[in-house]
Amino acid sequence: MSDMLMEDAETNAAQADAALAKPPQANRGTVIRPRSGWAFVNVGELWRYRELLFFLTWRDVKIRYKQSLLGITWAVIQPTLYMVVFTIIFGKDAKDMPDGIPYPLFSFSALILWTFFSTGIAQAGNSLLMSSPLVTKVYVPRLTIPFASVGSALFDFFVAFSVLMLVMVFYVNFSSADTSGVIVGPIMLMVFPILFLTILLALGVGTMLAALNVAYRDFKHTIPFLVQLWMFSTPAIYMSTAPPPAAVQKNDVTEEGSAQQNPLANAATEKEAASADSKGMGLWQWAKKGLQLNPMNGLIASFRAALLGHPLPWKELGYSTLMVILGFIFGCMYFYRLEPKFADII
Amino acid sequence: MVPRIKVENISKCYRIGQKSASGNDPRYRMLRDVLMDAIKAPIRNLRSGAALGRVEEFWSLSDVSFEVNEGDALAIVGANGAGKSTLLKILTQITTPTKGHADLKGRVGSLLEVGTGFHPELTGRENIFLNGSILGMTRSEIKSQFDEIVDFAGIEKFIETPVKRYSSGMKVRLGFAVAAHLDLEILLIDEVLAVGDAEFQRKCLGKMDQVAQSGRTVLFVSHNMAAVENLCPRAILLDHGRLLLDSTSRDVVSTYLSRLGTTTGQRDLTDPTIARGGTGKAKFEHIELKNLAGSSAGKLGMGDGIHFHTVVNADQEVRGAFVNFIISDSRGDLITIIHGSDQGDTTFDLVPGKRQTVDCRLPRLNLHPGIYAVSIEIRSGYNLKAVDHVERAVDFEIIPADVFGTGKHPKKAQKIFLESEWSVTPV
Repeated sequence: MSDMLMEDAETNAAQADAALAKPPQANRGTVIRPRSGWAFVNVGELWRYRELLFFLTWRDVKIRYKQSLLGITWAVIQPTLYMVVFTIIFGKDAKDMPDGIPYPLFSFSALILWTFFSTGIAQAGNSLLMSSPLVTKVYVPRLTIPFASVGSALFDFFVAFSVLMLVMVFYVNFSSADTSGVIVGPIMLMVFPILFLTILLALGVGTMLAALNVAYRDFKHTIPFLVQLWMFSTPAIYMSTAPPPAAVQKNDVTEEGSAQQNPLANAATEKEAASADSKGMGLWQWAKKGLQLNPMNGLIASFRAALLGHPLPWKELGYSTLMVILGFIFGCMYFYRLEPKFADII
Repeated sequence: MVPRIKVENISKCYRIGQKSASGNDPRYRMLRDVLMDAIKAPIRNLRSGAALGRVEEFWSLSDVSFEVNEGDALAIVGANGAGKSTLLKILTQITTPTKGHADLKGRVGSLLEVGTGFHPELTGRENIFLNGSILGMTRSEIKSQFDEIVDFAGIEKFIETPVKRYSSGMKVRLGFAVAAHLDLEILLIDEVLAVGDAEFQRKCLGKMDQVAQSGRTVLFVSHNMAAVENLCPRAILLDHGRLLLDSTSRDVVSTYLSRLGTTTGQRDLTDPTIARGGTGKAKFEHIELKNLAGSSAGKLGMGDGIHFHTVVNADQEVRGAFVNFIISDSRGDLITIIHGSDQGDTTFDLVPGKRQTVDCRLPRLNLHPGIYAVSIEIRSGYNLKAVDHVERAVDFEIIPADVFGTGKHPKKAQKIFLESEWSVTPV
């Protein structure tokens, strides 16, 4: 018996030997230098590890749905429940929705994008701590770890997205064109670039949270709170942010009108704003302005508009794009800056 | 010959000391600490006068340089805390050096742990792909070697079973099988052989030998001196982060062993440079080996008795503590543990600020001549966690004695001897 085992071992060894004897394919070198401070992410290396990114994403997706009762339907349940809650709370104002979009469709289209974003950043934020052996026992470009978390959230997004497609088909077929709120047209293709921007933002915010989470151990308690707060600061999810027609005109005057050409006029509009303040509406207006700093507002409003074939809020989208690019670059660079310390402090 | 690995003046500094506001280990910073420090710092600086940045530095490696040629196998030898693992972590890019640089030519693979990234819920097949890609294999490489990996690990029947249902031995075999099929020029290995059964260890050693024979460059960190001498013709010796010796592994091993040979029979353990483990609630301050007559002795005859004497000082309360004496041979192989709770049934409570002595007498040491190491530890009786652990706290030497009364000694090296009674009767 033991003889047979030995033989087995020998043939195995011979096979392994054959494998080792194959000429090595890529003659990669490694240069090891101290690294600290800000530096640009090593994109080439990240590209070489793209298959790892795929496998890590695939692992996250598999694990999430293995041994779970409802499996893949979880990806749909969360946005659906939110939709039901929002429809109950805000749905009665549905008549005020711009362009007659039914409220369930209005909120669900926003919620699937928001669910992707919030799941993505929350998972990415915890990803490094969850897979600490990948940081301390082997070298892989660590950016792949939070990236993969966003990737697995993206998988969920596509599941929910297909459900949304069915809902849309239902609305288009079983209600008249006015009431469905869906206008089929080429603008719908804008969904993909907007999704891409949201992915970039999730990657930027997610990697930054992941790095902070390793550097400061109590940061993980702030992540769920941060996600909640961010949702409340994204009113585009649950209510129409488009101002009533009168306000639009006024806004146009104050913001773009003669303001830049004439400093005197600028001062005049400020006075006007101040007088609005004194009327008691000011605080809300300012809060609204503040919320516009949040790029998710523009992304979600644009995503919904594109998906349902309505004209895009280009100004907000342009502003969001700028914020997304800055956020993505900053998040990745911050992560990359802390990366050399990860194995020492995790 | 082209050097495959070229290491120049690598140094690595860790920051220790200076407890943060909440008294936490500074490595695990809390946001809370940062905020508290920011508030407290100006006050503290006013008081102590520009004590800003009074962070204690610990150089885990300093100015280490060496080269390894193609097809060479180099062993890295040193006591715990000498910087071996840090060096390996730098060469695998897991952490970055503080100073210096290293150039590695060719694909680098590392085996610091078998089966990194295995997920218990995934099947054997899925884990092979996952682990392979973590180690840097492409999907097509894994596919083409898949059958060999499964074969080598010997888990054909369980390939679709989740890894959580595997025995620990199967997991280790699978992990090593994937790593063994990595197609690379440089392999860095850390003590993976410490796991698994003897059969598996032999298989691993054989595999590594093969790797080195086939023109790959191998860097091997181990406490197992026999494996070092077997596998690697050359070795370097690290001591407190410095490269002490770069020579044949025979030289290095003997230097290492003789340096460790603190056979004076006693040692002061309050020295802060001693590497120790455990929670640190209490610490050994001193260890002394005595003969049964009561005088300090680093050398004992075969079959003599021995008396371990230690002094323990407690910082915090530890209830139900006990002390273990761990005897291993000079190569680091465990011989026996003299267990304070199982054998001695002596547990005691440690009170903060109070010293206690722990003594243990063995009437007879059945060891063959050679150098033996004593590691000591305090454990808590409640959670059995180590409170303090000092690896190789002191050594002793057994010198030949005529224990058998025959005037003869065995020629073959061995570790223990047992009392025996013989009879030969013709029938």
